[in-house]
Amino acid sequence: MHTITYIRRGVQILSLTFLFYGATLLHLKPTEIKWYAMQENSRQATELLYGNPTWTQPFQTFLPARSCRFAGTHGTFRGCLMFFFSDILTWRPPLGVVLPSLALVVVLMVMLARFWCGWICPLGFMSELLYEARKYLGLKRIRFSAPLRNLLKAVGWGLTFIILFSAWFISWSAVAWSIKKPLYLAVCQMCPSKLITPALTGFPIMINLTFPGASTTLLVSLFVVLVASTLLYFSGFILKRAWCKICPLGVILSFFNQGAFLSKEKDLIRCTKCAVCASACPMETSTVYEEKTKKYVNHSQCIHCYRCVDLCPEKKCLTVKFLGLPLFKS
Amino acid sequence: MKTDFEKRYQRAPLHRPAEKVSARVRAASEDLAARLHKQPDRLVSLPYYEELFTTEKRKKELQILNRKVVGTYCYFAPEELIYASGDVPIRLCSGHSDTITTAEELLPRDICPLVKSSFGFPILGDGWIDACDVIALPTSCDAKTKLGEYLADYLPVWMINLPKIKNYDGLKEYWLKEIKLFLHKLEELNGKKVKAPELKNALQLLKRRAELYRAMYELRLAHPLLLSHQDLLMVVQSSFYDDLPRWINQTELLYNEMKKASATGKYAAKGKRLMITGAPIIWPNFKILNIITELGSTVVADDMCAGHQRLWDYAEPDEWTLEGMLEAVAARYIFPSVCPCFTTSYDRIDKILHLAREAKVDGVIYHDLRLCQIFDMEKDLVVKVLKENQIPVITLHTDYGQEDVEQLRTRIEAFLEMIL
Ligand code: SF4
Ligand code: SF4
Ligand code: SF4
Ligand code: SF4
Repeated sequence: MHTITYIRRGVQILSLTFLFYGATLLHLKPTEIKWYAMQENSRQATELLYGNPTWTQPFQTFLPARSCRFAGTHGTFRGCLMFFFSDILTWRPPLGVVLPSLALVVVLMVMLARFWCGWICPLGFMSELLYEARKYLGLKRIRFSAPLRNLLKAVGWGLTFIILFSAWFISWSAVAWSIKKPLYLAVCQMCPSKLITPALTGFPIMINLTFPGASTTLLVSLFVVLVASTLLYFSGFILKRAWCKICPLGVILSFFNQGAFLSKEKDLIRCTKCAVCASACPMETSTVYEEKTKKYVNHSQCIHCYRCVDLCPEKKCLTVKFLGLPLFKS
Repeated sequence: MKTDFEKRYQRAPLHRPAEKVSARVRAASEDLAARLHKQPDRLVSLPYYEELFTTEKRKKELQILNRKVVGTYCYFAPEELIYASGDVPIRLCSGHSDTITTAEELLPRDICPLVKSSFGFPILGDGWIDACDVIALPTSCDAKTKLGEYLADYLPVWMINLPKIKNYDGLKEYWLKEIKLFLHKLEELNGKKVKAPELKNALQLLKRRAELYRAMYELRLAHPLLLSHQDLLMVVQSSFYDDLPRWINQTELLYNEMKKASATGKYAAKGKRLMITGAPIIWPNFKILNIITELGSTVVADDMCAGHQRLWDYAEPDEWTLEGMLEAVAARYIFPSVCPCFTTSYDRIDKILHLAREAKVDGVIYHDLRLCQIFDMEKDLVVKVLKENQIPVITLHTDYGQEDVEQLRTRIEAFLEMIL
């Protein structure tokens, strides 16, 4: 019964353990890496060799999930791909340097798209634990209304744009330091993981509301966004994956949901339109339920949790395929 | 107890006990039971179900049982809630032709035979309705909607305001509220609140029933004559009346017997494989099925609300909280339903196409109950799409009477020859 959900929970536990505590548990040695930082005196980027081991995870690459850099010394990967993209845009390192990581991230996205969200991302997993706790307490779920869902989607797009644009914008030398400094890694400044991951891994939580020479207004504004997104994250207790509906990393992955190697297919005539899938979907998408003309039912916001496949009462109605190979069936 | 009819205007209930009519009703059931009994190689677990139609045992049991009995009509009265409240649902839709004349003393003649037939029983003071404490009546069609006011002369009636448009976003707006209102009425009737564990038990019980039915259905795909379609409908319809856990136990026995018997290879379909779609065929109005059997063909599938559809679907909550379960119950009655009372026939057409494909049917019989507008109005599109899919289809426009049996036989015979 509900086998897929059980398997998924297992994978999520393993991946959270590996991403957040892998270095410690597996005695992986951190690597020395070249790093860049905003230099206060020169007010430009400088290449540094950081001695601080907290910043050097064993795998010097990035994953399309919140494999957060704030997992500190316990963490296994250098960070999530939003961090990576921001860094590329800000520092514009030579292609040769970033190519391996970039290629890996792209391959992982093309293969699995938002499967990362449903199965690997620790932040996503923990937000599911929130609603599991609520279920255990017998409290009822609240859904976003359709207009609110659209609004959240727009917010997500907006955030993604702001994050990527600001990362690129501060790379210009003409931009004043007072703007540059606060906007550096804007993505991390507003990411709930910045608070949640350290809380789990014992890494210090760093929040600066003032910084020499930096615009306090910007710092405080970003902090307000951080508070808002963290509140949204915890509203996942009743709303199910609330943060994931705006998560910029999710927005980027959502472009790969159609055409990824991993795909959900529906036998249109077996589907009774019973709406079990629509009620079960944590992302509140309704493509699986509504689609009656095309067999591919991959909504851009689908996180591949396969709860729909798990609960669909019609045998062989929904199938999850990887490059045409069936993995799961309803 | 609150009812949906406040009795501003009164009409004395019409009582016309008529031993002759009641005797004919009993005889119709006994005749059919005897007929089914004579089928060749019939499974030995089946006579159990006949008793529910031919004896008063269950009715007596209900009358001494310390549980409230809720009479229901159609597919839509939420059984989960009735069981969770500790009450017993009894479906009152009837297939007897003998009570129709009785009902016509009060009801207009030009309404569907199912409604008339069912309404004959309170007038006669006979049948299952005698054992009921209250009636839950969904407003599925015009006749059912208006039937409430007539039934309210006899028993408290709760109308269930059924939406006619399947709209997922609207589910919470109105239908879930209606479901909760129904639950509230039950709670008032019983003087106690329904708690999550009770509802969970009811959901699981009904899911077990669905899974059992689905297993039987699958077994029957390859060996349809394990149960003739008459027997299948009898088994399904006995679940309208029987104690559910007992019915499940009994049907598990039947299923095991079916499994064993299927190994003998004796039960392959004879003649053409047919599917019946359309208005419900309810005990003892099995005339079409009997004709098909006599003509040497086999009905392998149906999509009727008193047949396959009755036991197929179940509530599958994502969350087992009270709210989550109620939502699932609400969804289960509306969305997968193929009842023509909804505005589009598309889901029904898909169901027919799917069953026709899965059960490899050679032809479809569209059973159109005379004076049922909704099935009649859906016919055109259903028939068109079936023809486009190269599935031969014949429409039989008939009612509960026996007068047209020969005419039906000729038409079905011609149809069977045509699909050679
Ligand atoms: S704080 Fe957020 S954006 Fe930054 S590395 Fe961690 S998960 Fe990625
Ligand atoms: S949407 Fe973002 S936080 Fe949510 S699971 Fe995906 S990557 Fe993780
Ligand atoms: S749960 Fe399955 S049968 Fe029901 S609507 Fe979704 S895909 Fe169709
Ligand atoms: S559509 Fe299905 S797989 Fe995708 S998020 Fe919703 S329930 Fe999960």
